[in-house]
Amino acid sequence: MTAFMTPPTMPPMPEPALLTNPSAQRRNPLLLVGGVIVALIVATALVSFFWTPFPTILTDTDHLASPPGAGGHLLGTDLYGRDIASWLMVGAQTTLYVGIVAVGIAAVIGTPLGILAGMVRPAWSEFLMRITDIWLAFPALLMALIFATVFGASITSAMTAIGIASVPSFVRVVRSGTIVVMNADYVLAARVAGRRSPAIALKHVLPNIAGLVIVQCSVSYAIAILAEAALSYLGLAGGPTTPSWGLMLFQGQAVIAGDPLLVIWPGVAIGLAVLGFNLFGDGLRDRYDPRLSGR
Amino acid sequence: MWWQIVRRLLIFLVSALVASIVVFVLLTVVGDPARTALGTNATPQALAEMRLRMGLDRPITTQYLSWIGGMAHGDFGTSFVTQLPIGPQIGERLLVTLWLVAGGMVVALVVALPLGTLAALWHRRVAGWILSGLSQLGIAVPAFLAGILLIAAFAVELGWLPSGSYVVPATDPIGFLKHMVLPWASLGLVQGAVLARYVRSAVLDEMGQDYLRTARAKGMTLWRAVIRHGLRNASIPVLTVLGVQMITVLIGAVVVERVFVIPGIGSFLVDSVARQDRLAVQGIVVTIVVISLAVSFLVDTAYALIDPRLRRR
Amino acid sequence: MTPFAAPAGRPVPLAPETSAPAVRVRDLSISAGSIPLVHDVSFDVGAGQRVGIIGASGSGKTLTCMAVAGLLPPELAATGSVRVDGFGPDVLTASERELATMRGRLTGVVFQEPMTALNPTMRVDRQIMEAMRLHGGRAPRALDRAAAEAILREVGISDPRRIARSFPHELSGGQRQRVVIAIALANRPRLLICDEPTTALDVTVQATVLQLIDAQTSAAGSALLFISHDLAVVASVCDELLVMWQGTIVERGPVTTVLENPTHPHTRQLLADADVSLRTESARPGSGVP
Repeated sequence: MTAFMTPPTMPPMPEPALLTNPSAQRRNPLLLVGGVIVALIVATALVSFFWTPFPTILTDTDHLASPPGAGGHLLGTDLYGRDIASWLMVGAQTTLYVGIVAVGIAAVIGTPLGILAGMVRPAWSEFLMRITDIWLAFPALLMALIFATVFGASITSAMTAIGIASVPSFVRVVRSGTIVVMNADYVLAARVAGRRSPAIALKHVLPNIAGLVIVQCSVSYAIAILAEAALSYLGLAGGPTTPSWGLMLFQGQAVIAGDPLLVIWPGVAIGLAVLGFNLFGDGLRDRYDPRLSGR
Repeated sequence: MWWQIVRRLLIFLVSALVASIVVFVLLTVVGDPARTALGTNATPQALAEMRLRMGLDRPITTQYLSWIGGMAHGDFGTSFVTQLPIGPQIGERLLVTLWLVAGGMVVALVVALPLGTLAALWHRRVAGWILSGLSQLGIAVPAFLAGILLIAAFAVELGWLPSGSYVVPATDPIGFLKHMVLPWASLGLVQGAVLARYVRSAVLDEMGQDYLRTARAKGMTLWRAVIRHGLRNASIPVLTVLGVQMITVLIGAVVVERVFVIPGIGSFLVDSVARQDRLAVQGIVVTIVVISLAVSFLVDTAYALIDPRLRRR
Repeated sequence: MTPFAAPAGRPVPLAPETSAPAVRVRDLSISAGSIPLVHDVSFDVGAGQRVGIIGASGSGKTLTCMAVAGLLPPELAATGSVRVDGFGPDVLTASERELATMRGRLTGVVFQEPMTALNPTMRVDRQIMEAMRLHGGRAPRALDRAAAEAILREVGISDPRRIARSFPHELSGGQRQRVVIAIALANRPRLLICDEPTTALDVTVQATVLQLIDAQTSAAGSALLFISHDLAVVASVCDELLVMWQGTIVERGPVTTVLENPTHPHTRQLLADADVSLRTESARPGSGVP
């Protein structure tokens, strides 16, 4: 529900008591649970490239809005007789695709900017932070609505907008990580030895903040999923025949009185996907460099 | 202290100005607004005429200044799609959205403050796990999804509450409340679960502080000391979260208004996007962004009021 | 368990209405789970008497005092008995609600770290007034404020009106500790507990704060339980000395006796670590500053 607003200005989410116990930390149940959920969704999406129980375009007119099991439809059909299980599977594709592109854009722009902000003189760093503050006032959903107006409503414009809106949280996280690294003794030594900034950035900073970037990717992924779901619910992502969980929610809501299951399935899928990526991110944060995990 | 507030106010004003330039550039300068308004089949002649009407022939700076100058006294321009003035609609619908956001925040606070405080004082470990789980759930379930599920349960299955639409509070206060319960709950409950976790950890932090032990040494019970001394100090970190959440709720309201068919600024925005009404989108987005920036400014200012250590200079 | 003899040569204590000891601790043991932290500690602090507890960190001296003050963390288990004069139930078994009626009225505590002992978001006078009101009932606000300022003057604050209206962060470490002492003594408790009250202070301030504790406990007629790891400090304030080591009391007696004839190896070690000149300096800094 944190939806479309990255919480970068929030203090780090307090870790569950479980994680403060070092022996429990080694077992890292969050990483495991999150990893299993993420793997499950990725596997579903991959399988759906080759096989779904029914074609997603098939409208089984003998089974309109049928309950689970009827006519071989595992989870039933929707108002148009389309197989829900197949739509859910292909919907995972859409979700993962949007997430990958959006997070990719955010990481590719945000990471260098963050390193820059962490290495330049404080006045410039301050200036860059002010810019990210303004940037943050354009959360993913708002940015996507602007893009939909200017470039038309499509998956491409949605994921580009979500990606651009996710840049500032990368900048913040990477900047604070970079500042920690820049104050480490070995970097100070390298600077004293006359190493140039780009070399330091590549050789020392980047490897040390890689963990942070991966964690942020996972967190941003969850936010991208939420934004995509909202946009396709509003009908501003793909067309009405592109399977996506948000669209299923929208179509299900129209017949909610007759068949509440039609909103439950995609709802559970969205919640599970976000939960998975969030838990995965929390688990990774634990695992990677605990020094930086406090942010 | 005053200087700090003035400084933050200046930062807020400059940020708002920069944000308005960004919005203007995205929605007026990028692409061709005239074509967006008329569609792809428009004749060159009609396009040229439309450009003239929209004032696109003027230099960009002039266009920007006349837009921002108009907004300064409430004139957001007239839509080239609906032919209606935009300003009054924003004002009217913003009021509806503010009801929605305010109610959602109240629900979140009413849920989170007692829950978080109790969880800090009682059965720390178990309560901590439960709250962690609830807040993970709160993050994973977006407001609009919560809204749809609440409709399924309370409007459809139980039939206790209406599933949508809006009633003006002045004409029918009871109807207004009835219609707002589910939207408020969908925005507030999940956000409250997230907030409760922050409240708990903030209160726990304060419970470990020496001054709380001093308060108990004076003759206060633990509870009384936490309530009298701890909560005020715990509110400092919680305030940051609250500011971010308020913006989250405002953005979440955009979709929630769609779910419950509430004529707020969010549904105005979505309708305008669907109509490709650039000028309207421009005005609405600027309004939302400036409100977000104002919330951050107010949160920063509130720090100084709560924490005397920040008041110096 | 012989109660300590009343110290000779001191002004007659003012407060005690009874001749019972201010605190009677018997067989106090404290443990965290299965780990024993304090074992079988027994001692008395007579009315108006001054007892020092000395020991290395981890010797259990702070825990012992927190048990007496009714401020033991709930996750620690304590057995034995702790009786505070004027308080009905046993401190170890009393409820938080009952303890609240004792704390601040019969016992006052001065903590080690004055920087964090005060609420950062509350003005000094309100923090003092609160201590008085919790036990003294409601008085008109102006009266309370005057009383708060009077107490501040008593603890040697030269500009009580300004300090009263200040926030803790606006005060120096020494000033803050004076405020903490003012809060601890606001209700003239039977017993003042000081947990390393000068350790966190500048050396230059330490002596004046010690003199203040010395003078104020005399004036209030309070007994004193004073913890330190610093022999010189304890010797300058206390009459009687308990030496703790690994959770037990290994040596006890009048300060001069313990310092001159230490019997336990750990006490000898502490003495050897401390300045040798200490042995000769057993005199106190007068009877305090008015």
